[in-house]
Amino acid sequence: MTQSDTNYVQDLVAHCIDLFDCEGAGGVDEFLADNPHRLEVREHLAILSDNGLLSPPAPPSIQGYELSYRIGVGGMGEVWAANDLRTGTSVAIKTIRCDLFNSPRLIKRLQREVETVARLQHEVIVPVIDSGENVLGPWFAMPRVLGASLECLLNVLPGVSQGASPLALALEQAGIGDLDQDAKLFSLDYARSVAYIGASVADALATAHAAGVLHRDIKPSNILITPKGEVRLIDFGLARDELQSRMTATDSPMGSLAYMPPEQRAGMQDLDATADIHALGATLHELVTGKPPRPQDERGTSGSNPGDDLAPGGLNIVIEASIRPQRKHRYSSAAQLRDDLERVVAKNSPRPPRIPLIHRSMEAVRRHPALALGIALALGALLTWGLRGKAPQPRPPVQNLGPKFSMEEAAKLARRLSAIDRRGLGKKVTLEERLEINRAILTFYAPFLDRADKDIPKVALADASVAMKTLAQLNYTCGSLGETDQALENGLRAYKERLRRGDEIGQTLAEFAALERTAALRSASLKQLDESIKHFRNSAGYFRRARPKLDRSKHNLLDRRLAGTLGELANAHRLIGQVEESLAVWDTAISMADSNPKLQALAISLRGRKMLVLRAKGRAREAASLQELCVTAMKRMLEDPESGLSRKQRIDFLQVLAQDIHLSGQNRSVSDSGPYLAEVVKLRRLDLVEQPKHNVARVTLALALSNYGAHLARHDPEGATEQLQQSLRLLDELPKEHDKLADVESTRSLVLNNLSIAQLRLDPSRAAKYSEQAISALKELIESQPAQAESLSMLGGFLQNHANALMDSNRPREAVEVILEAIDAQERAFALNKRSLRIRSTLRVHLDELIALYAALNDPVSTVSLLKRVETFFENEPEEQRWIAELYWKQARSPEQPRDAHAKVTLEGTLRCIRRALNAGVESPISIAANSRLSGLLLEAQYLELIERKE
Amino acid sequence: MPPHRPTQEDLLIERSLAGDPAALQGLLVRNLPTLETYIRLRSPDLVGPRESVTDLAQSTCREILENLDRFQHGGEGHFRAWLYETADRKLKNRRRHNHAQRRDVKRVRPMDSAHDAARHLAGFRGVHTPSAHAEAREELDELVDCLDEIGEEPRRLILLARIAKIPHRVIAERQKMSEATVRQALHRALAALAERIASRRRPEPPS
Repeated sequence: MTQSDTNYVQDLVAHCIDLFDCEGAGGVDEFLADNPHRLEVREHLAILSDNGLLSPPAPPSIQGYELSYRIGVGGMGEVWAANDLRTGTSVAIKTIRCDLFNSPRLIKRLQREVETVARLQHEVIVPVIDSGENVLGPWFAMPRVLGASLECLLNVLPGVSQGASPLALALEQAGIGDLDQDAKLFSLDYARSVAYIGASVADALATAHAAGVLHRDIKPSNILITPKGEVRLIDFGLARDELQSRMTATDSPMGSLAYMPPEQRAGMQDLDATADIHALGATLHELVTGKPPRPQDERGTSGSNPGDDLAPGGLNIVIEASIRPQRKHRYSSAAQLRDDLERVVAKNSPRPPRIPLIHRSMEAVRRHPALALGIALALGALLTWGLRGKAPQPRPPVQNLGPKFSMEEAAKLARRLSAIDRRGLGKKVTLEERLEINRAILTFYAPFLDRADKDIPKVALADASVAMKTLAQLNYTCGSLGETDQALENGLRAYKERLRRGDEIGQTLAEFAALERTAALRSASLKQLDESIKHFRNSAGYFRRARPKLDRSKHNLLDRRLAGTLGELANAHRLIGQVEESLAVWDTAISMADSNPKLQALAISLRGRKMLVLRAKGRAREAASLQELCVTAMKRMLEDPESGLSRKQRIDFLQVLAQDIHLSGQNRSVSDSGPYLAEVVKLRRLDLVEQPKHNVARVTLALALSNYGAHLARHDPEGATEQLQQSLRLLDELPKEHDKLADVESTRSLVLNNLSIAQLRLDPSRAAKYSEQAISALKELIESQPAQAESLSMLGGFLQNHANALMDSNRPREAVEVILEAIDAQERAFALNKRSLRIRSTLRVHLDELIALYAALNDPVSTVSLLKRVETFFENEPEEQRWIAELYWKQARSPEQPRDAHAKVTLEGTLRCIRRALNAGVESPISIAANSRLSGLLLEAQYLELIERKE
Repeated sequence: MPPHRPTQEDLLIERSLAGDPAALQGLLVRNLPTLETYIRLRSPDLVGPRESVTDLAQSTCREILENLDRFQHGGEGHFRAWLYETADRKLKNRRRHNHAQRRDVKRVRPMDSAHDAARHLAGFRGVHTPSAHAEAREELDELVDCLDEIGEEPRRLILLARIAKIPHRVIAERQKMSEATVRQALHRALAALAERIASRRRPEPPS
């Protein structure tokens, strides 16, 4: 923007502020409608609005009502006292905060609040009596509740003498007169009056929950007490209505932190009634003790503050059971909580939910590790368990380990545990608990599994194979490689044995397929790609065999898994350079997903992945036709709150979009891919918050941070450094055995390389140190695997970054050596994959950098020998001969170039390369254009050569 | 226009002038968060490294308490105008004092934290959300820097009108200007501030 543009925009902004003060946002909209600078002006107005600097205008005008003054302002709305001109009654009108400029999101939220409240009919919930829209957006009217909020009462309660009814006194102190002294609320002692308030709100919540609405912001300021002793619940502004869109699906935690349950604080999406129950419990806690409970994470045992003097008469028990950190331990419904609070009001004993035995015993095992010893020993035996023909080493005798059961007892215990594992008794079971459950199942069956294959009882084999499959999957996600490998080995043999015995029902085949898939993923993460391909193929085969044998209701899930597995298989083919096979498998996966209307998101995602491969392999035209189809669809689905995308799919889409921008090399990639990458970090973080032991999630988050850091490195090096160091910390937190994983090592080297880029502008010597570490980590990784073009090309890139850092640290001679090494790596990569455009273009970058460096060092001899080396290497590549000819030509025509032997050599080089390129013939319109330029160059060079000769 | 209803602040001022100490305390407590924000934004050079915002705000309140008998209530915004003028005077004195003392930099202690920043932002936004808390420090720094860049008079005008929420009429009376001039100058100042913030947020063009 020019200075005069800037001045003009400022004039417009000043005028719009004037309009906003007089006419509100509507006036501004009208004024800006066709103005070419409207986007800048809106951006500036939004900045002022975000900083609270747009002044609230006079009360909005709403037909049929006279608004007098503002009663309150919240995060998004404000409530005005008004008079209904038709009936003369006093009402409260909620509108969008007039200083929040033009936010469609808030408009949608207020509309949703109207729709939500309109569906709820309960005496405690203040109803909507009228609604409409004015220039600022939607509004709705409610009957005016004259009373005080619990927040207001909490402020005055400490000063109230402990009389018969502290609540009534507090209301009077807060300026609410004409109390109905006969009201039930005022006739109760304090603890029971708190229980009465709680029971009323819980009853309202039960109605809301039954209608599929979660309030999500229960707190003292949203509960009012009227002079008649009635309780009112207000502000459904943050409510989530299951019947409507999940518009806050990617939001940060909403609600008031002090009352939120741990899962809501952690930003989890699948909140249920227990979140409101926690918030109500926390509110009651504050009414009783004067402060809300101490925040807990889900592993804590109780939210009460130490020394809290909770109320007598059973209320303490009810509050404690409402605010338990794990939601499965709280009241499961608001109605249950209401019943217990009513029992307290009636001076009866409450019946809070008991923590299930399994959780208590697991808690006990955690607290007393000695108790776990028996299970651990038995597990040790199981890990060395071998079926027939296995177990060459002596094993400890199983009969000495763990408890012994009869076959029936073992089966009964195992079935009970596996029911908890599968269904969690209606609640979610944590990853660690699932591990323990499945290990325990194997413990029960231990004596029956230590036999030759054919002697293992059918029940034991079936149950144990499922437990092994689950253990393999869970250990893989936790990153316990040793236990994963054991469980995989035993599990695969157990399933083979089941199939051998003719147990070929759909369920068995599907389970076997899932286990093969885990084996494939495990091999892939160790970069044992051939092994991985074999397992993916097996997995797809078993999924296919299972399909006709399974009930129709399971087909969607099975199709999703099969298409996903085929996608992974295609990826594995790509990684070992089998591009054509990879594309063929991708096509199978896509047509598989296309055939099921429920898998549209997956089909788009698979197309996106295929597009990225095509683009990376230089097949731009094919990629472009796919891009048209899937990038638009992805953007549309990401923006549509009702698209029902899972978090995994969302992440997948965002990654494809970011990588698409990166690969297509758009100039605006810095600003374009940033939001996608930041969103991926946010979503990955949620994965880890939900499952802190999920080490695969840890690595993927580290990688997401690394990508985002790389993006920031160009324009915000400090921000980038922070993200990247977080990423390194995450990798350092992994168990030691993880170092074996190729994913971890390659991520670590990437992070270090990105750190080096970020530090280049801040501290080049530190940048050099980081790049050195990155290079050594990557070299170690490359040495441990069969040579791969991608890793070698990546090494070339790292070496170039190191050279840049060395140049900036004033060490040009060392930089020369490093770039030569980079060229070497790139040439090795090229030899492995000659179709990769990326390798060719990176190699050109190295050459340009090195030639510039030689020029700075005044070393034309080295330049020429470098060009000769590359010329020879690319002898049969006409594309490369073209640009090498250009490089020679540049040297030949360089004013610094002495007119001596070097001039002759460079001129000859130019001619040689031009002839080679022209002799290769015409391949494409691009070649024609390039060749015509070369032909011109050829004439010029020949002429120059002639002159040289004559001289 | 709806008829003017006496606000809670008007009632508190009247009771304070009638000698009710509790009302005066209520009045000051009510204005304290905004006053602290005003002080922080008004003198970034003074607060933070050298002075605590809370100390300066308390000291302003003390002066108000001592001189209440000199105050004449002239309607909405007059008390706030007086409060912020007192704060301005206090800041000027402190700056002079610091200059005279040439305080040793080593004695300077860092006062600011992300939490304080969130509190100050909340002071004038009227909203305190978790995300605001997390971003508060960065946003406040940005706002302070940009306010500093637009010059003394525009900054003062923005703070009085939009942070202290003193009506344009009262500012005009006190500064002996017409209300229209105040309004025009304020809107120009806001536009300049928005441009500064926007230009900071624009990514650098790729080199």
